[in-house]
Amino acid sequence: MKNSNPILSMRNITKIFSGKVRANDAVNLDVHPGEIHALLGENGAGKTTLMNILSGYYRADEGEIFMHGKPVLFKSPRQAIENGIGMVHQHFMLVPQHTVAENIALGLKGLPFVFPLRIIEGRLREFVSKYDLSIEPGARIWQLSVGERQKVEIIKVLIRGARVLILDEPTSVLTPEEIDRLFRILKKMKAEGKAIIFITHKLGEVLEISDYITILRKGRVAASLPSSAIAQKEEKAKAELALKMVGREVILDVKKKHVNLGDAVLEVKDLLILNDRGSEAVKGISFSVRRGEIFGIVGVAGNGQGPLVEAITGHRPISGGGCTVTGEIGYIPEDRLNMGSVPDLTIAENSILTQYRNSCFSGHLFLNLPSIQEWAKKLIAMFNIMASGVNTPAKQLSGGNLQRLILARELSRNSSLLIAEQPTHGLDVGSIEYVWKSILEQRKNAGILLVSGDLSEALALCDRIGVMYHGKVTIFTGPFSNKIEKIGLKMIGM
Amino acid sequence: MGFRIEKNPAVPSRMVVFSFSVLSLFLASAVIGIIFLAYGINPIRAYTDVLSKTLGSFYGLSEIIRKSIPLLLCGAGLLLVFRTSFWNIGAEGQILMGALAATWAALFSNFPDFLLIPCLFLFGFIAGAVWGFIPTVLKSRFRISEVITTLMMNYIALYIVLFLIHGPWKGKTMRGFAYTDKFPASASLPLIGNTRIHWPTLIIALILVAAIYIILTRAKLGYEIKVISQSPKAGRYAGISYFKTVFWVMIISGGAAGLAGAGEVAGIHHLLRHPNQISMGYGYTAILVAWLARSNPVITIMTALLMAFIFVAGDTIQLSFGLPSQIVNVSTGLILFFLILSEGMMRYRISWKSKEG
Amino acid sequence: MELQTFIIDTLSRALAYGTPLLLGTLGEIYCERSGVLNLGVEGMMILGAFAGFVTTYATGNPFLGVLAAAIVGGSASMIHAFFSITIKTNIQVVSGLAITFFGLGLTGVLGRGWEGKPLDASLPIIGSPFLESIPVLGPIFSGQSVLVYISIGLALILWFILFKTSWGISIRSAGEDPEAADALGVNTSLVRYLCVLTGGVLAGIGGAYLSIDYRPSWTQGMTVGMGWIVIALTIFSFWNPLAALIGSYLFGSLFYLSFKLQPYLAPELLMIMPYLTTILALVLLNCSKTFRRRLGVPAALGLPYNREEK
Repeated sequence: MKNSNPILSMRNITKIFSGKVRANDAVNLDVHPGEIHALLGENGAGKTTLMNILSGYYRADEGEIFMHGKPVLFKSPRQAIENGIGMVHQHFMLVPQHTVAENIALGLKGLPFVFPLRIIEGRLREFVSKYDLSIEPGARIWQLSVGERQKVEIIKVLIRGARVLILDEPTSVLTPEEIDRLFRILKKMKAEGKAIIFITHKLGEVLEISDYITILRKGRVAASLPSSAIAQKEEKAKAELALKMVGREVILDVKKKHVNLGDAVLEVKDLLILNDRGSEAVKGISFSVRRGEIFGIVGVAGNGQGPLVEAITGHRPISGGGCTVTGEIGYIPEDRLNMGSVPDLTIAENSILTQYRNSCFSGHLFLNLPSIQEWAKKLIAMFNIMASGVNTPAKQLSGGNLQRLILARELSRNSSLLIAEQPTHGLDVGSIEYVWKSILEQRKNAGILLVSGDLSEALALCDRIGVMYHGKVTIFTGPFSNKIEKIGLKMIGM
Repeated sequence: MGFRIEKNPAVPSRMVVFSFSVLSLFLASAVIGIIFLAYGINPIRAYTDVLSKTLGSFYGLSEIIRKSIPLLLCGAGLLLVFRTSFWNIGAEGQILMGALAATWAALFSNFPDFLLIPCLFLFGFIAGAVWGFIPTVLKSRFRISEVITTLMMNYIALYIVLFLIHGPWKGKTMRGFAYTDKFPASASLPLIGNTRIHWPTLIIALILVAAIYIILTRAKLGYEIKVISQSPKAGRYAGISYFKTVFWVMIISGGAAGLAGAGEVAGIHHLLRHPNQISMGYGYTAILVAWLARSNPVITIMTALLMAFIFVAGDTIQLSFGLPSQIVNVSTGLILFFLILSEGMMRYRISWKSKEG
Repeated sequence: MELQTFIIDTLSRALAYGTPLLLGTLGEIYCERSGVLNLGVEGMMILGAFAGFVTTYATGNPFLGVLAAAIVGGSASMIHAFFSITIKTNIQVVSGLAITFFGLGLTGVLGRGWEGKPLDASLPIIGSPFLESIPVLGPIFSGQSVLVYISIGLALILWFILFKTSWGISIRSAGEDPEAADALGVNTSLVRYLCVLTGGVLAGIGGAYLSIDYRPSWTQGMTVGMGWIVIALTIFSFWNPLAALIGSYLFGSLFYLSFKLQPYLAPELLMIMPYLTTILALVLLNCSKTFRRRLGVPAALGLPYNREEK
């Protein structure tokens, strides 16, 4: 297969967001006809950005794209489509109120002006025979299952004559049976000579179906090799590759003092949670967190961590099983800028966001402004927050200082359970150490649930680690030094 | 050289907002000047004349203050509502319901004389608040856009008033005119001297502005409004209920508009008459009052006076030059156009860059 | 016999009075289907009424009057389109209201000298002995202005375009999910501009019908709130041009009935009906999720679309 010319080459693609974040950094990618090319990487590794550049949504700041060896420049999705590149987005771009046929006909060239749907219905029959893609053209999208919606997306792309198909995390929303069906369809398309780019963060899943694998990490290509080369390798080598993706860099030296364990502050039993679409995001998991311990939930984003935290904090209903919290919850949310804080409000106002109802800060109608000011000053002093004053807007704080403010607020709540979601994501080393120290300190008063996508962080801090994959959890107990590979493999579903 | 219109991420400073607003007013008056020219009137002369008869005369000034009362009440209330991103364009209907309830209190209730005026305001407030409360329920229960419901309810209020003055409440002493009977003297608000400034309503309006200022700076409700208006997600995180907040805000805003209606009937007309004479579009103009003031309730005092000035100027133009009073609507429309335009210009910037080779 | 005449009269007047409502509603349906809420219908209608009257008076040609109304209404709508589609201000409500203020004000100022002037030329009336000989339908439909027929034809055509053509798919998608439409290369801005323009043109013509045909004269504020009823009707007809046909004539008949039934029933109570029924229709619509999805509000109504904002 390698001796054919690539249908698509991306050379030195670089994309910089808002002047500083390098989402893609000199990325090269070659895709051949009749090849299923898996593009692996964690969330934020730059996979989707790269594919958005390829499908004309973004423009690369540097680099070139070649189709059949000729340079091309896509200024809009339409141009990419005309050049035979079609993308099936992770979040389907379907109009829910419209029928299948209407969605397929939208923007499609070469349809008659009147009664365009009759043609669509005819063309749909072709797909049934060719790829086993059967679908009811008159059905409305909102009536369809997720798997069926995906079919519509694939048909939409194929009917536009795509020769390169990009599938962005196509399996993350599917049931095992649906995944089987999807793989059968992909194989048929491959036999037709189409090139398929398969974005995923699950190595285990694509090993059998893909021909070539490219791993992205932090915007760069970390590895690029034929799947056959991996499949034959030993377990140890596979794990090595997996860790290339999830990362195991410098583990900062963390001194953990011994703390006596107390009673369980969080008890999760056979917990079942549905996501917004109504499918199971968390599939009957059980674990408990005791006072004095740090329990880590690791996993690639989108494996049920979000709904789990929402359910524990009471922002999402529980569909089965139980979840008991003893006492109050302190919660450091992942989204510090829009959830954990209100950027336009002052530091003082942000310092009471979760506690403004507390009788120290407000009466029946009014806020107790002096005590809020004093409180904010106290937090700034205690947590070394660099700020010009308590009445400056929170948006003027640096990322690390904003996180300290949120940390300060949540740690000072006397809660028995602290949930910290990606508490060090995007922070500098100094702030990371500070956050870690504070969390370790908090063990004296509380049990801690640390949700992190960063394995090294979890390894450094946690007493026990639960790896979440597809809504299930596998628990590992420390010390972890000889279990790192196993944990890494579990994270990517192997 | 080519140019590109980009989103300007920086929040415009107060000075920029202020100067853009002033510029909008200036441009709008320039366009009005063209209309004067078209009618063969020297715009400079027209403007000096208008200024001397409004700002330059005692009567003109008193009329500006009188017309600013309902604008201030509605505008300050709307400012609070708009901070929650709830598009209440129903102040007009809330004014009418307030006027209606006050009329009922004045004509048909049996309150003792000394209680009549307080009751009249109280009824006005309650009626306006109820009229504001219904769209809140419709939105929280049925997710119906408040833009539509508040608008529809303006018309429902209008026809209810029309029905009453043509039917059951039609005055027996009014010789066939579509008015109610005149209010008893005990239901008429006191005025300042020989002006038409009904000072109790003015004081209520100023108290309301102060109260809204205090709500926004010191009250728990204000804190909740600020959080949900900046970030609904943070609001949920902090456990703030959007609808509960909007509920209280709409009670205040609807109630304030109701007070305005009560003030108009009890202070100016002393009877219930055709809705267009009671309100003259105060409820719609108040949207502009609130919007011009951006987020500071104290500034509504200025913007309400400004819009009242435009109203009185319209009357003056009508009297002095024989131009229709509709010129007020033209200027309101123009000011809005230029303000929206400047809003857009503040949020975008044009960046020039030489074309890549 | 008495009753039959009454019904025929009512229906005949409903047709006449419902026509400006129908024209405005058809336009607003397109506008909202593409995702833009335009509260400036009243302003565009009155501008159209004035432009139509003046042009017809000056040229003696009512068709030129209708054309002028279409151009003026369309131009006014372009202001709204520019604000809500290009500048993408999140304040479509304010911009629509501004057009209404402006339109009512400008026509009030400029129209002063035109009040009370008679209009000699008028649009042709469709009527023939053959048409009149058809029982019941004949007397209802004959003697109506040519615009009545055009607007009925327009409703059918616009319905067909919206639901049976590829344009219709693009329009509805722009209002439901501009992101999806954009992904497939549909120029959502262009689609929205054209739909807002359609709204303005039809509102303008609706106004012209009032001033040239229904009551051939100019009076300040002669649209008497019809633009707001159009907003209500758009919802009442669930954004469907065929239902707009029924809704417009239903509301049109209310106008006639409120006048005719005055001795028995307060006209104001009948005039409340359009607004009240619209709110009730929305409540019913939103009671059932399935129902809402089947007929529902264009999901992206009133929201500007910006590709980079993802």
